[in-house]
Amino acid sequence: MNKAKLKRMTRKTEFYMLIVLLLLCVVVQIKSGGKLITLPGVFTRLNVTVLRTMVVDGMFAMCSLVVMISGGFDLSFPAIAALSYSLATTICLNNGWCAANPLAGFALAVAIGWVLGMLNGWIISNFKLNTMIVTLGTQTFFTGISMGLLKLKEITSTLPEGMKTFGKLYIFESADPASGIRFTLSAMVLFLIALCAIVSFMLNKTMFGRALYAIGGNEVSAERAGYNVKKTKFLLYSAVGALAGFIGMIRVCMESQSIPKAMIGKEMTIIPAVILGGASIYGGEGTVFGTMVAVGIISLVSNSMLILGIDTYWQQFFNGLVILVGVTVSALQAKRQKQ
Amino acid sequence: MKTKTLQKHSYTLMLLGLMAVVLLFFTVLKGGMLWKGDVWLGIAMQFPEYGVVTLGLMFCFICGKMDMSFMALGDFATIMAVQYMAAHADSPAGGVILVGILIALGIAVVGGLINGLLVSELDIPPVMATISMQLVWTGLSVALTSGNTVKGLPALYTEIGHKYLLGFLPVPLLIFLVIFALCWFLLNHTVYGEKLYMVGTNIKAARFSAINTKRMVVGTYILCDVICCIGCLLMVNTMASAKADYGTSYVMRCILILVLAGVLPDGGMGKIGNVLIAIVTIQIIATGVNMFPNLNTYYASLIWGGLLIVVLIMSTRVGEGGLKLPGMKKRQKA
Repeated sequence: MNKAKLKRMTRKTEFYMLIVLLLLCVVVQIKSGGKLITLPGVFTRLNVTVLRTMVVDGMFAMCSLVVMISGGFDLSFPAIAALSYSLATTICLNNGWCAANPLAGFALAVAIGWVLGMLNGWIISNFKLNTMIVTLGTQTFFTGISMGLLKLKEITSTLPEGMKTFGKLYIFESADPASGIRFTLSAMVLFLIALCAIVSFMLNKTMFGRALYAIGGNEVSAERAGYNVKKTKFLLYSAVGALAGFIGMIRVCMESQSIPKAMIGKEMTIIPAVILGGASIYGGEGTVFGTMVAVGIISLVSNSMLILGIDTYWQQFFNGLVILVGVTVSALQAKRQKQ
Repeated sequence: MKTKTLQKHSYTLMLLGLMAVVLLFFTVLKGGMLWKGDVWLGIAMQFPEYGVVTLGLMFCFICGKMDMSFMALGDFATIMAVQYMAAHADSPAGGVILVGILIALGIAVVGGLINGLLVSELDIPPVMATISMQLVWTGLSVALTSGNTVKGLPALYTEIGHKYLLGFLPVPLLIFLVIFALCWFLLNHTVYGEKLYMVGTNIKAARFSAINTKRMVVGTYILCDVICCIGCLLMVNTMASAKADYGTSYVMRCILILVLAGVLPDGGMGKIGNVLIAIVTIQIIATGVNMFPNLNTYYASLIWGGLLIVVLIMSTRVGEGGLKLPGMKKRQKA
């Protein structure tokens, strides 16, 4: 039994990604002289930074993952996030909201994201078009709205206080023993954990999640099996829109600034990570665990470049290389399984 | 007979109608401003660079493949070329420029070969393979230039680009027209073109019809990336420099133009004439938006995005006897 289980495990991409992540951790730990994890305190400046970068990227990766499982390809979620957070912060700023807490901002961003997501969902579910092309169109359209029609401006120092203080919340505080610099573990990590749990539950334990896998596997069969494909797709894209708005707002709070341009091209770094985590571009495959491992690898690599002795200018190249190798390995494996 | 011809060209007619609507729109709003000679000269100067790139990508789309790496590769190739040209500034300019262009095209061949092999030999889905390659090429460009702009082009290079042939034909437009003619010939009057549409329509059927599909895919990627690289060389001429992210904003624009023109990445579809109409329409919108002093360039993307969605929806609403994408019938059966 154990042997069969082991065999099944080694067939999955996640398994190899996990090994890569662990090896990478060991290398960074040795190279940095034990700066990645210290005992008994566990948290260090380095791993806190890695976790911090994982929050927004990991949450976006969840958006991309659920769409990819359903066999779709969403290019528009960064544009939705950008439009919702910049519009929401501008409204809050003009009305003097969010002085104490950022709730109004979050509500607005989620509502705007939801509406934009519904537009995606309506087009995709009604007209059965190629999702990549539709979302390319809506991405261009949403960017045009936020920066052309509404001319939303960058908000940096004037950001409502409520958002700033919310973004600075932390659940752990310590000081670097060597330099004495204070570091904190951002409380936003909790949102990432919660989202992972929710998405994981949704994918594995609900009819909606099963419907996503079924549609991604074979849309016609899913329809024959009684799933309401049209409704599921509409719900999926509107939910992803709302979620993108929410994530955008978290980013605004964490960075204490709202920059409409900041999200351009973000999809090109998130989607490869999701693919690296074992999600199939043809749909029907992908797990929360694998995706998070891949996001972990990428954040670890990009945050420990200096420790690994790599010039920061080479960072993008090595990120690309890691993804290329990961994608090749999983493609070869899929080929081997077919034979 | 006559209705049949009309039906056959219904998509082209719709695109021409779209162009007329756009022209009418800006004429009504801006009066005669659109119809001045230098406005059209500006249009003719601006579209060749991404027009050429779009023509390259068109081959990939017709083949049923996707390429996301063409601009990153083109940027890398031109950076290498400009660096070479800048380093040999004291040698005779003509030879240096020639070698520089050959370097860029050589890199494009290598990049296309890698893309093609990843897709055809390793069976990696095209989008995945080319997104990864895009990251690798951009990463290399950033690493080798430290993210800086590369300057120091021989003056002759930019001079050629700003010359007019016979006093009215800008050289970039001439290059575009030559490449357009070559692509048109390649698609419509050669065995390669015929095979390309077959591979794009159904790659399995093509393989069983004794077409070497692997060689077709690799060849198409190389062709696509080389043509895209020529577009990037034109871009270098406009900017008088090269940089890791010059082309990034063009990736989505090129895909948008092709989809608007009815060349979907599903493969086997599309006519090159429609691509030309779409390129010009997109440029007219950009130029038209520029004529309003209080509108920024993002208005153009608002219109482009909206237009793309509307055209997509329209193309699904019509069945027999109505609007038809070239090759659409096959797609619906699949």
